[in-house]
Order: sequence, then structure tokens, then C-alpha cells
Amino acid sequence: MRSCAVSSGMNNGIAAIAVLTFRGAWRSRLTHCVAALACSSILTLVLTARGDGTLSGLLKLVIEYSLKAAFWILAVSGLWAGCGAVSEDIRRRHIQLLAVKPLRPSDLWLGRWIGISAVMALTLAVCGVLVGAIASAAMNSNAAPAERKHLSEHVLNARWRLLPSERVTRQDVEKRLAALKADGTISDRASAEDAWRYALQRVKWERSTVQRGESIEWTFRVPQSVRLPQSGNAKAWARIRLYSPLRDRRETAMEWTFAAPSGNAGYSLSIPPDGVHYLDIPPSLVKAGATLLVRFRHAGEAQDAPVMFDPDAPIEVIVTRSGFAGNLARALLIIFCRLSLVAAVGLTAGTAFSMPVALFVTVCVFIIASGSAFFTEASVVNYAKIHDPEKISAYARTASWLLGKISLLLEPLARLDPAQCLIDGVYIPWSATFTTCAVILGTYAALLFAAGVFLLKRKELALPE
Amino acid sequence: MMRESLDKPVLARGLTKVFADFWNRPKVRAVDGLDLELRKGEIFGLLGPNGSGKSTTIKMILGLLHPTGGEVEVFGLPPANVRAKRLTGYLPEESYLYPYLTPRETLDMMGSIFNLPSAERRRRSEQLLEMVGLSAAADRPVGEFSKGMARRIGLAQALVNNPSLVILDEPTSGLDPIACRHVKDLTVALARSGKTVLLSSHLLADVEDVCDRVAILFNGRVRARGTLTELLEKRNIVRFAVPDPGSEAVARISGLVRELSGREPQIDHPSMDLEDFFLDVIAKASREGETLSGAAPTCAPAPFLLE
Amino acid sequence: MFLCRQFLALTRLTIVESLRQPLSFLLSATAMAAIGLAPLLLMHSFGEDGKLVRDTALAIHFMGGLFLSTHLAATCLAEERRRGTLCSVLSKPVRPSVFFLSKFAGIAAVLACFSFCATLAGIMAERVSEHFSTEQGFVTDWRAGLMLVSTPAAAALLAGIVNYRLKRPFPSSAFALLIAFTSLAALSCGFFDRLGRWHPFHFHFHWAMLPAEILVGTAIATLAAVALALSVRFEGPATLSFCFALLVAGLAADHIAGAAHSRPLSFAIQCVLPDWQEFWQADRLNGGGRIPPGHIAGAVLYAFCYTSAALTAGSLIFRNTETS
Repeated sequence: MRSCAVSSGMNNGIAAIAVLTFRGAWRSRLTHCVAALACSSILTLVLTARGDGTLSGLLKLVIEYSLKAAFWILAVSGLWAGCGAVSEDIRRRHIQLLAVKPLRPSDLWLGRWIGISAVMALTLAVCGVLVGAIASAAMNSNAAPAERKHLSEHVLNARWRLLPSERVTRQDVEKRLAALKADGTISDRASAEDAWRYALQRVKWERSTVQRGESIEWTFRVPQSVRLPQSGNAKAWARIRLYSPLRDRRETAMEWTFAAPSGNAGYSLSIPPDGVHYLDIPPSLVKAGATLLVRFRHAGEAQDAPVMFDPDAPIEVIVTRSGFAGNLARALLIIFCRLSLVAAVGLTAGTAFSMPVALFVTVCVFIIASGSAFFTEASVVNYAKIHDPEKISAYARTASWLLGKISLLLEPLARLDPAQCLIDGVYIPWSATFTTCAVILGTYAALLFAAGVFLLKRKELALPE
Repeated sequence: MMRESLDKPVLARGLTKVFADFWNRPKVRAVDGLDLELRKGEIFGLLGPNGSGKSTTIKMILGLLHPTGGEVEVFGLPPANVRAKRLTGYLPEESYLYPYLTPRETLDMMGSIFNLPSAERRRRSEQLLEMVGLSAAADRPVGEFSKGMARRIGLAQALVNNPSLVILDEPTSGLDPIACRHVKDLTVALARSGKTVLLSSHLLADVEDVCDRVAILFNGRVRARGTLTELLEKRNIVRFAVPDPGSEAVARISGLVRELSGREPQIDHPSMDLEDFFLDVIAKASREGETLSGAAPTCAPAPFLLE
Repeated sequence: MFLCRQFLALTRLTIVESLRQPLSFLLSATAMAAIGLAPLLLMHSFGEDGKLVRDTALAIHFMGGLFLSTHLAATCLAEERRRGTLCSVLSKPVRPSVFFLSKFAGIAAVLACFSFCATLAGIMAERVSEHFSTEQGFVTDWRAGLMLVSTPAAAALLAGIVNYRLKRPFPSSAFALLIAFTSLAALSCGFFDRLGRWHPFHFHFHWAMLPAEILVGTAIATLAAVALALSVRFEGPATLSFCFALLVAGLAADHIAGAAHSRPLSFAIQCVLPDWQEFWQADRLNGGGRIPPGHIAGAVLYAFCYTSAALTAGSLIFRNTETS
């Protein structure tokens, strides 16, 4: 009985602080400005964006940049609110009224976090509704039927994306690595990890190149969870990514075969050997739990160049799953979790430092975090580590190592890109959504919560100025 | 698990607070070896000049500051304990209210932290607003209030949980004399209903009117402690107060005293203090039908506080 | 004379107040460290040694200065109002315009110090970056780089010692030491070349960067004037938001003015929106180029006029604002 009373007291405390925070934000002109800015940036994009001349291209641009603009605007304001929530309460001494009430430090932190997250959720929902309305308007616009068909099939759609089984074996990479070391391409002083990665990339490129008259095969194991819609609107495509460094982009003859236990299908066609192309697959070939074999043969003429597939994503099988609205909702949920994490970072920093210092520290952390992957790629070390590792100074190596570790630590946060999935028309499964949210909130945000509570417990809340 | 002990509202032994710099070197010794024990149902005054350590002592009792030395218990529990906080109400030296909340919202929010049902919160809020005379301004943001009005709301939020221990830090700061009187009357009424009040002030008149015991702090140490009677009574002087004695009676009494004690008696007319005179004038004006444009608190404490 | 003394006293007060904010040192030190690390992390030269580091250093100087200027300007008046010191100062025989202008002068002095450090860091970073030498191929001047990157840490360390021994405030000591150590590091570069050989009084700096850095410094001061004028009416976050919007709009000022349908409107836009492109002349330094003195004079005059207009407007609004 007593523990129920205590726990319900705690929940009331969290709720009271959350309501207090929400009210404060709701009554602040700055919140209204931020919401107006987020919405107006989306509308401005619609009015000013040019795209690639197609309806699909334009809508993809609008969706991607609308979500990114909404994210960054809300992230900055959420960070600001988070940094100020506790630190300004301490500076203005409002916390003296709260801290003497039966509130634990965890109640204070959680209540503030929930309040800030609620405001961001509301604004994000409004932005999401706007994006949905724009998508709906695009579908009902006066564009050509072919454009609208492409839009509905490839953009405003949520489709399963199946990737082929890995074709490159460990033995292949080891053989290639030995050869590269023997001819001096990889220096003996390069680290084992870097050398392996380089050799793997080389093998992938070689395996992705098909000479005239040769064939290449991919195997797709269709998961049990893939179920085509019953309504008869089921569709499947093979999305292929071709790459050509040559200026001459003559169409190349290709033969495609799709084989499954339930049947076969084949194509002979000529397409430019560059860019992204879609080939229809009979939906009956894509069965849950079965295997789909896709074979390509270069049927070009003597003067045709080899066909090169993108080594990292040569081919995908896309299968219709559900509509855009549900996918948008799941994407917004992931974006909301990221925004909540940003607010948590600000709250914890604001517990340790004054507001300007907390803002500064968190902005630096974000710049380093978001730029770590880029800097790791662009650094002197990345270029020289395979060929001339001895020319890299310890100074450069340490900085590159540190940035690499930061990038690794934050990789789970960036694994699923909801905006990219939306514009690619790729289905974001509920399982992936919940997993991502659980990782963001259950791991990163939880750690920040623990740190924030630890700091708040030890902080003296009534020190003289 | 520690249990609260309602008989010992506050117990401090050797309480010390030294403010240090960034390198943890002592900078200011604000409180130095303070012993304090409050009895249930009394009004205890902490007196001292500015910078004597009164507010620092109170903040350590409330857990807002960590003592450098010594220990303090509130109802037998550490100050940071949630159960101790449930029984405590605090009015800080400045009100520190959220400017965007109205008084009603402030009291409702504070009440919800104490897990009061919404009907009870509403009832108490209305009674408290009535008590502090701000029912008419209950829906205006606190940021628009004057200092005195904000102080009243501060007092109301300190009492929303019907606390057993009420800590008031400069409660009459910013209040007009009528409101000061009401605060003092309220303090006495709270004590009579069994609550313990710890009052900190540098205004001697406030403390003298209401406190049962006082401690005088200077430089972080208690310099004098005891009941007002023990501290202030001049036992070696006797005063006779006679209404309308007449000049002959005065002369004869003076002569008798001179004869018996061998000392020259001091004869004068006692005077009212300024506060009493002020209140008298206001009371007369009210009886003549004049009304106040500002806050108009009632005289009685909110009924729930006396339950 | 009396006005002058008042002005100087209030300016000194503003400088002290600004330097005691931790953010002044933090932003300055971070900008220095980021400029110092730039040569380390950038490998593409785009056909010219040092170009990317040069551009990066100027960009960091610009962005760091913008954040510092808007923060100082947005908070100085707001803090005074909140603490009540604004009322106590203006209740003395101080003219509101003198008070307002002294605020700007104080902030400008701090920004000048920041720009000085960022300028030295920028020209040092350019020297540190990979340059081709006929003797050893591409070399990085790691000695100068190490000195540059150590400067903020050394300043912080010594400021800590000063705070411990002499009880001086850490942020202001650290800022002053940052200026001193950066100057020392730059001077030290004048004694050895990129390969570490003794070569006194030859700095091997790309001196053509100096005018570009000066132009960036004037842009920062202009934005500080605008931020201060806005802070008379608006609170910190609103001022910062307006300044950010002005920055973005100013970068596209030409485009926006060109899109206007009438000449008077286009002219009005050009007058209101500061054209930040006038102050960003990094591209002129490519391939050994220099910024013409005429352009420098024109840009400085433009900054002076815009700053004066902003300060005049701010001063007039401040005179009519209730301060309590």
C-alpha cells in the first residue's frame, strides 16, 4: 500500500513537472516561432523547389528536405530547451520551490524531458501532417498519368526491400589480400583491419563487373514475414544500380532471368549501363520462405563495355507491402525518438553546466558526432593508411582513431535512415522501428538519464550567485 | 527503512557550512557548529544581521545545500528524504515563482506534486487564495504581480500540503503592514494547530510578536538562545502601569518608592508601537466605508490548515 | 572629457563582464583548436596547397565570431535588465546613448581580440598544412601545428594556476593568456621554416590572408551592432534567431534583391540586408591572388555605415524604452 502510494506520488511528480514544462513552452512565443518556422520551411520548399523535372523527383526532394528541416529546427530548439530546463531553473532559483517538494532528482529530470518531448512531438506531428498533405496533393495533381503511376508505385508506397545473399567469401578476400601485398599495393605496415577492408572492396568491385557474354547470379532468400497484399495490387520489381565511368552511355543488351520454385520469368532488353533501373517481377515468384534466383547475362555487342553494378547495392527485390501513411508515421516515430535523445543530451549538459556553456558543449559534441564519419573518410590518415602508413604522424593517427571510435559508437543511431526509406518507398518494419526506438531511448537516453540524475543528486541547488 | 519521528521536527548537531572555491579551498564559513532543536508546535525564530547564516541554515535543513560538517534531521529523516519533504512547507526569501503560471495553476501544480486528488487541490487552492486575498487575481500570470502579491502566493504554495513543519524565510519582506500583521497572526494560528514554524528574519518586531523561542546568529554561530521572556526580561526593574492616576497619586507613589527603595523612579507615559497605531488608523478607515484597491486578505487561516 | 571618461569606464565594465563569461574563452579556444586541427583532417588540396585549410580557417573565424558576437550582444543588455543594474546605472548622470554605445565598444573590443587570435591561428594553420617541397615532397609543419593546438590548453592551464594562486577569475585570465600565447606561437614560427630548420625572421606565412581575416572581423562587428540593437527590444533567444535569419538572408542578399520585381524594392532590400559576400573574399586568394586595397576600403566603409545605422537605430530605441 505504502509503495503504491509512493510510486503513484512519484508518477504524479513526474506528471506535474511535465505539465509545468509543457505549459511553459506552450506559453512561450519562441515555441510558436519555432513551430511556425518548421511549418513555413516545409511550405517554402514546396513553393521554391525545382527537382529533376519529374513529379516523383520533386516530391522526393520535398519529403527529404522537409523532414530534415523539421528535424534540425526541432533539434536545435529541443537542445536549447533541454540545456535551459534545469540550468535556468537553478540560475533563477525556481528549483528551490521544486526541490523542497517530495520530488526525487529522477522525477525532475524525467518530468522536464517528457514535457520537452511532448512539445516536439506535437510540432513534429503537425509537420508530418503537412508532408502527408503535400504527398496527397501531388497524387491528385494534374500531372501526366505515367508520372502519377510512377509516384504511386515507387515513392508513395511502402515496399519490402530484399537484399541478395553475400557473394564474396572469406577465401576470396584472403586470396586478393595476399596478391595486393605481394605486388606492393598494400604496404606491410598497414593495419590488418584496414588491409582487409581494402581487399574486400577490391573483390566486390571485381565481382560486380560483368564482361560481354558473361553472367552473374544473385540469390534472394525471401523471409517468412514477407506477405504480398491479398487485394491484387501486389507488385514486385528488381531495382538494379548500374555504374559506368565512360562518357559513352549507349544502351547495352541484357538478359534477365528470374527463377523460383513457383515459376520462371525472363527479359531481354537494352538499357543504358548507368543509373537506377526497375524491372518488373511477376509477384507469384516472390513467395514467403522461398528462394528467388536472379541471373543477368551481358548480351551486348563487341563494342559494348563491361556492365558494372554498384558493389554495395547491385540489386534489390522490391515488393509492395502497404501505403505511405503508415510508413510516414513510423518514420516520424523514429525521428521523434532522435529528437528526444537530443533533448536528453541538452538536459544532462544543463544539469552539469550553465546554459551557455551547456549549449556550447552539446553543439560541439553534435558537430563532432555528426562529422566523425565524414572526417574519418576525408582525413589524411584514411588516404595514406594503405599505401604510405609510415608517413602518418602519431598526432594524425590518434585524432583519426578517436573520430573513428566516436563514429562507431554512434553508428546504431544512424543505421536506419527514415527519410531515405520514405523517399525510396521502402517499408520500415514495426520491428525495426521499435528496435531503433528501444536502442535510442533504452540505451543512449537511459545513460544520459542516469548521468543527469547522478549530477543532480550531487548538485547544491541554492549556492549563492 | 528509516521511520519519520514527528516529535522532532528539526534536529541539527554541529551543523557547519563552508563555501569553497573551485579548488575546494574554504572561502566563507557561513555556519559554524550550529546546534538546533525545534520542539513540536513551537514558533522558533532565527535572528541575525545580513550574512549571519540564517538562510544557509534553513537551506541545509531543506537539503538545498549539503553541510560541510555536522548532521541535520527533519522528523528523524535526512533532509533529502521524500517523506521528510512531504511534511515540510517552505517560503524562500524571494518567491521564485514561475512567471507564466497563474496563482491557481501554481497551487494546483504544487498540490499535484503532493499527490492530492484534484477535488482536494481545488478546495485547498480556493481557501489559500481567499486567505492571502488574491482570489480576484487568481487567473493572472504571476509575472505581472508586484513583489508583495508574489510573496503571498509564495506563502500559499508553502502551505498547500498542510505541512507539519513550516519554514518561513523573511516572510514579511515586501508586505505592507496589514499583510505583515496577517502573516504574524497566521503564524500563531499555525502553531496553535500543532504545526512547528521556523521563522527567519532580521526584522526584530516580527520575531518579537510571534516567536516562542529565538536564536540569534552572528557570523554563523548562535550567540544567544532561549525564550523571549528569558532573553528580554529585565528582572531587576519593576514597572507599574496605572490608568488615569491623577497627579496627586503619581506624586504619592513616587514618594513611596523613593522612601522604600532609596531610588528615583522613572515616570513616563507608555506609547503604542507604530504598527499598532497604523493598524488602528486603517481599522477606523475601514469602519468608515473606505476600501482597499490591492490585495485584501482575510484574517483567518484557511480552514484546512487547522484540521 | 567627462563624457569620454564615462564612456571609457562603461566600456571597461562591458569588457570585464564579457570576458568573465565562460563562453568567451570557450568559443575562442574551440575556434583556435578547430583551426589548428584543420590541416590534420583535410587531405584534398583542390589543386593548390593550403587552399582548403585557408578557407576552413576563415570559415571557422567567421562562424565562431558570429556566435560570440550574437551571444555577447544578446545577453549583455538582457542580463543588466534582469539583474537590475541597468536601472542603477541609468539612475546616475549617464546618457542612455553613451551607455548603449559603450556596450558596443566593449563587445567590439572583445571581438577584436578574438579576431586577432583567429587571424594568427589561420595564418599559422595555413603554414602547417601540407605544402610541396622539392626536398621532401609533401610536408606538414607539425612543429607549428603542435604549438598552435597547444595554445588553448596552455592558456587554460596557466589561467588555472593564476586562479589558484592569485584568485583571479579563470575565464578572463584564460582569454588574456590565449591572446598572449597565440602571439608567442606566431612569433616563434618566425625562427624556423616548414622543415624545422633554423631560419630566423622568415615567417613563411601567407600574408595575403590578413586582409581576408580583417574583412571577416568587420563582418563580425557589424553583426554585433545589429544584435545589440535588437536586444534592446527582444530577449536572448529571439535576438539570436533574428540574427541567424539575417545572416542567412544576407548571404543570399544579391539573389533576393534580384528577385524583387521593382527597383525601389530591390534597393530597399539591398539597404536593409547586409551583404555578407562583401566580407567573404577567400576565393580571391586562390592561385596567389590578393584582395585589392580598393575592395578592402569599400567593404570597411560599408561595414562602418551599416554598423553606424544599426547603432543609431538601437540607441534611439533604447532611449525610449522603459528600463524597469
